[in-house]
Amino acid sequence: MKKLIGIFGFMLFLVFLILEATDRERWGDNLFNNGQRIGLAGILCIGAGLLIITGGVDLSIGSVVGLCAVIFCWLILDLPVLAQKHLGMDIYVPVPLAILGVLLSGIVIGIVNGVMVTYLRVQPFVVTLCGLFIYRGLARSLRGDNVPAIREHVEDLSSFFKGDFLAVPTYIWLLLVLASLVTVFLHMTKYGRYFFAIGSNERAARFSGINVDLYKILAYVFCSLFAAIYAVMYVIHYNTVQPSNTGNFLELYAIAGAVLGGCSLRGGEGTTVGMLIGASILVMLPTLANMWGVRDTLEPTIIGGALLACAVLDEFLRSRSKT
Amino acid sequence: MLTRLVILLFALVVAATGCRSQSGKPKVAFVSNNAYDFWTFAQKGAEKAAAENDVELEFKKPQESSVEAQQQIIDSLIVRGFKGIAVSPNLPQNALAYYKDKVSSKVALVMADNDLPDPAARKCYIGTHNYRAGRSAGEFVKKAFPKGGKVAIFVGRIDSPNAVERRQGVLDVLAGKDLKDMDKTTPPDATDLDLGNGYTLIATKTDLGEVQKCQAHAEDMLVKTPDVNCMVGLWEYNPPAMLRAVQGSKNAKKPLIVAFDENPDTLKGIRTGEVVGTIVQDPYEFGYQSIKVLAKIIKADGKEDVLKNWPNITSNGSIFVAHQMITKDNIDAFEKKVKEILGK
Repeated sequence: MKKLIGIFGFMLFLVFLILEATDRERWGDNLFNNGQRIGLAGILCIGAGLLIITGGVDLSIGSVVGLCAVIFCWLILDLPVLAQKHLGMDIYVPVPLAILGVLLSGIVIGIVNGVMVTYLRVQPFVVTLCGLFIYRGLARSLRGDNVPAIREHVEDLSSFFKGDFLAVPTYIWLLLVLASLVTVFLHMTKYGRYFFAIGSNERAARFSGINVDLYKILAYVFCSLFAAIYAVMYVIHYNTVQPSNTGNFLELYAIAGAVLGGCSLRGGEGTTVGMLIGASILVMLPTLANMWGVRDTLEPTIIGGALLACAVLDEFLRSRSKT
Repeated sequence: MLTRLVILLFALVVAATGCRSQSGKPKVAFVSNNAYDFWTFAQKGAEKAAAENDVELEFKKPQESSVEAQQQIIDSLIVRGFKGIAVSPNLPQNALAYYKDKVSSKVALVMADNDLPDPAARKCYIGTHNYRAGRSAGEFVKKAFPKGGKVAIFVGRIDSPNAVERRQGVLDVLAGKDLKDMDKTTPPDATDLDLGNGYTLIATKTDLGEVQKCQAHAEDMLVKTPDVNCMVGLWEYNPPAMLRAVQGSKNAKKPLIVAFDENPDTLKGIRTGEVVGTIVQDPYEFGYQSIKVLAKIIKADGKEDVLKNWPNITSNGSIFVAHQMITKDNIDAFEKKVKEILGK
């Protein structure tokens, strides 16, 4: 936990700056908005973080989000029409069933990625980079690039999630539930320890009898499953999907959030708390830029610079704590 | 293993080449600037024109809204023997040399939706007069807030000519400038700019085409500047994202939205009164006219100037497709027409 002090301090500093730049009467609104965004972004960072701990990487996360979001809409809007047209059957796909379908799709994608990496021994970078193109193409083809009119089907869920419980956004509660489950898995079960062992030294893990391939596949499944959960929440929150665009570059944010939160790209390191802090920083930096009225053209530079400063500060504090 | 992979790849290549049409009709293509839903309407119009004029059509919607992706598609269309191409160019000012030297010398080239800075580089331009469309959006703002107010503009990118022209149209109307065509441009990063007549431009927020970023910008603006009166969304996905931010805001006084294009959520917002009105283009007509022009040019084979007497063509070869202002009063008729086009 000592390792997280630097980025935790940076996160608190960001909260302070955001509140300082906001009228006092709107603090609540601002924190609520950011809470909702962190609730969403955190899901992706946890998925990416789990995989990074095993030494893997997934560049297809954004496209998986796009594809899963389109599948969600396709199941609700198009499948009944197709069943009627080709089979003469009247079917209705309720939203919970569609969500289940999306989560299963995420699992299947994870298995495909994992099997390619483990059994076919293709580099994770190559497998998931190809996946980035393949899944985006599938997302675009499934509904012929049409933006689905999904709003009325998810309106009830939308209003539920836009609400709060004990003044904390529902999205944050969902994230906390997911994060708790992952924390238990990662830090309190032997399977979680296998993840760290594989990431630290894959060869040693293999020689010590761990079924490395199985757990690596499991890590890819987790990553794609969390991307699928994010896709469902995306549709519920934004009520829209652009097959060609939804999820673009999210893999970079997810990986950046996880790494910022203490996951080492070499594997073997990371905590769920760190991933959540990383996700929060990624969300709050653009908010701060907006609150300060930073010009849009300069915003990416400010965000990139702040992230770099955060990484340097973190490294400095870590090296000091070692000495 | 390797042999099997090679055989599989070979089979895929054979299958792909086997898909080529051998109709013998002249081949024309339409290349959009992105893959948004907007182009589905253009595709329907293009398909109708292709059927009426007996040409074979290929409608391409590039994944990325980039110059490279678009030029790669156009290069391969030329190599494949297409006779005419209609393009909605990305960053036309930067890509002018490409279209001039490498495209219009080889095929009949028509620009749709976005024009090239040099009219000589293409046969004609077909699309909305974006500056005048922007002025119409400005009229919506004026109608809703006749005594002035704080205005914010949201768009994907401000380096796109249609965004520049629409934004300037809005700002010129609010500033009381009576112009037919765009004159000077207001700096894109201007903030808290006094436009005159009681109107202030808070900022122009860009999101690079990301819905979630647009919504976050709008949410943050509602926190930072709660007295914003009107938010103008220049691209199709902007108004729905802004609408969600407004609906989620706890501010006592909520801003009104002025929109572009016909996203279902935008139309719903017009019915509920949260959206003052929307400016709709006619992408169906863009597609229809572009392919019709290309077909006629190819069939004339250089023997006659088919564009000379084309209806409503201007001296610099622009065919402006009229935009429409949709409000509560005419939304029913408009939605009926959209459903007819999409065949629903």
